[in-house]
Amino acid sequence: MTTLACQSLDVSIAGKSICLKLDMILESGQFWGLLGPNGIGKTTLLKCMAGLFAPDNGSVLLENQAIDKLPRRQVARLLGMLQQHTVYIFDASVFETAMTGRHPHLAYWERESSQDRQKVHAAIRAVDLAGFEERSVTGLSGGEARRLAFAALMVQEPAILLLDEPANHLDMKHQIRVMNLVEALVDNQQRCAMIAMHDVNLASRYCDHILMLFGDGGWLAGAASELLNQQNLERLYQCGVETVQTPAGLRFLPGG
Amino acid sequence: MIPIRLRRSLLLLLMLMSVGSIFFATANGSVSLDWFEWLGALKDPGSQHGELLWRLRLPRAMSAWVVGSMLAMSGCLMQVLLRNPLADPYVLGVSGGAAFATLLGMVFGVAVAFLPWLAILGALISILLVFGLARGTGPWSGTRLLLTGVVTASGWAAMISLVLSLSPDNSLRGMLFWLMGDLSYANLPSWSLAVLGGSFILTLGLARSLNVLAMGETTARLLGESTQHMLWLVYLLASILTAAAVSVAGSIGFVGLIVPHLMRLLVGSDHRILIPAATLFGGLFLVFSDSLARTVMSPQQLPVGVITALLGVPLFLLLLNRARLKGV
Repeated sequence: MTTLACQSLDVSIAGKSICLKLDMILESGQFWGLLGPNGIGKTTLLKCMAGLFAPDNGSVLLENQAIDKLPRRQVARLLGMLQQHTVYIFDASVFETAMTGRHPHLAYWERESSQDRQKVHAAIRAVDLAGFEERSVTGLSGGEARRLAFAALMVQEPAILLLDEPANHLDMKHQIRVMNLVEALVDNQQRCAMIAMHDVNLASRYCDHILMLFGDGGWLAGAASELLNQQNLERLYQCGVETVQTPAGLRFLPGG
Repeated sequence: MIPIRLRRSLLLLLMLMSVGSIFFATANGSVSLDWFEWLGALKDPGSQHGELLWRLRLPRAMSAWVVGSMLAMSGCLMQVLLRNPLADPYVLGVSGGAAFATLLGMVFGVAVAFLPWLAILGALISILLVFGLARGTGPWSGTRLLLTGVVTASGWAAMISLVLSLSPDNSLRGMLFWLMGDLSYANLPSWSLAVLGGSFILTLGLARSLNVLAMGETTARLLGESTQHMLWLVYLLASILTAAAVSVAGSIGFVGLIVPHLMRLLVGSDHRILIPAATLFGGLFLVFSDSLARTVMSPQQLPVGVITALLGVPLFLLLLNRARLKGV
C-alpha cells in the first residue's frame, strides 16, 4: 500500500500562510477533495505534496521516506500530478504526448513496448480523444488539452494522483467522465486521489475525504460526511450556504 | 508532419543525400570532375585530380558537413533549453566570444592556423561567463539564462564593432568573411568530428528526456527528470557544439535556426527522430550551400552564410505556409 503523509507541515507562499501543522495521511483507496476559496494556496499545497515546493517546516513522506530526498524518477513512478495549466509550445502529436507518461518507467535507451502503446490507446479512448492520435497538441482546444494531460497521467499509472482542478475547461459530460475515471482508479485499482476543486457538489458526490483550507493557516481534514456541512462551508467560502436534501444525498447552494 | 512509418525512411534518404552532397561538392568547382574522374582521383591522391580532391575539396566539404550538423544539433538543444522555438546556437553569446577573440587575433596578425584555437578560447570564456553569472545560487531559471546570454551576446557584438571600426581597411574583408561564415581554411575534420560523434551519441541517449523537458520544467520533474542537472548538461552540450562549429567556420547563420524547424515540420518533435534528422540535414544543407558559395559567381567566392540565408529563408517560409494550410 502506498501512502503519502504530511507531518506537521507548515507551508506559506510570499509570507502568506497556507497551512500550519498539517497532519494527514493519504492512503490507497481514498478519494480526497481539496476545498478552499480562490488564491488560498491549493495549488502550492499540491506542489508541496508532490515535492516541487519546499515547506517551511515539517515533511512530506512518500512511502515513509522524505519526498525531497527521493530521486525524482522514483517519485514519478509512485506519484503523478495533473497541473492546472498545460501549455504546449512545440508541435507533437496527441499520441506522443500521452506516451510521455511512460517516461519514468523506461530506462535511458529503452523504447516503448507494444504494451505501452496499448496503454496509451486505452487512455486516449478513456478521455474521449479517440481519433485525435495524430493531431498536433498545439491545435487542441482548452478542454481537449486538459483531457490529454489527464490521459498522460493515466498512462503514468501512479499509485497517488494529485489533480489540480481537473474539471477546468470541461463541459458537464467530460467533467463527469473524468471524475468517474478517477473514481474507478481509486475503487478498482486501489489508488489514491486528491483533487483540488471548487464544485462542492461534485466533491460531495465523489469524495470520501475532504481537506479544507481556511486561509489563516487553519485547516480541517477528515471524512466527507462529517466535514461537508453548512457551518463549515459558510466558514470556508465566507458566504451563506443552503443545503438541499436530494435523493442522491445532500447538495449545497449559495445562499444569501 | 509525415506519417510515423515513413520517418525512418526519411533518415535513410537523408543519409544518401549527405553522401550525394559530398560527391556534388567535391566534383564541382573551377575544374569539374565526372564520375570516373572523381573515382580515379579518390583512388590516386597523388594525381593532379587527386590533389584537388584530397587537399582542397574533400576537407572543405567534410568540414561543411560536420559544421552544419553541429549547428543543427545545437539549435535543437537550445530550443529545448530555452523552451523557445526562436532560439538558435548563437543566442547565448558563444559565437560572440569566439568572433571577438578571432578578430582580435587577426588584428594582431596571429597565424591563420592558430585562429581556430583563439575562437575556441573566446567561446569557452563566454560559456563560463554566462554559466557562472546565470547559475547564481537559486534554482534553474530559463529566463535568467536567456537574459544573461542575450546581454552577453550584445556585449560581444559591441566589442566586435569596436574591433572592426579600429581595424585597417585591408584586413576588414577577411574579418567580414569570417563573421558571415567561411569554410575556405577548413582542414579535414578530426577533433570536430569526434566532438560531433560524442555529442550525437550522448544527445540520442537523452532524446526521450529532451521530449519531456520541452514540455516545461515542472512537467519534466513530475515525469521523473532531475531538471537542474539535465538543463545544465543540455546548455553545456549545445555550447560546446557551437564553439566547435564556430572555430572551424566562423558564425554561419540560419542553419542552427532553420534546420531544426524544417525537420520539426517534417518529423515532429520526438527528439529520437528529430536529432538524427536535423543532424543529417544540417550537414548536407551546409555542404550544398558551400558548393554554391564557391561556384555561383566563380571565381568570386561568396560568404556561405549569405547562401544559407538565401536558400533557407524561402524554403522555410514555403514549408511553414504549407503546414499552416494543412492545419498542422
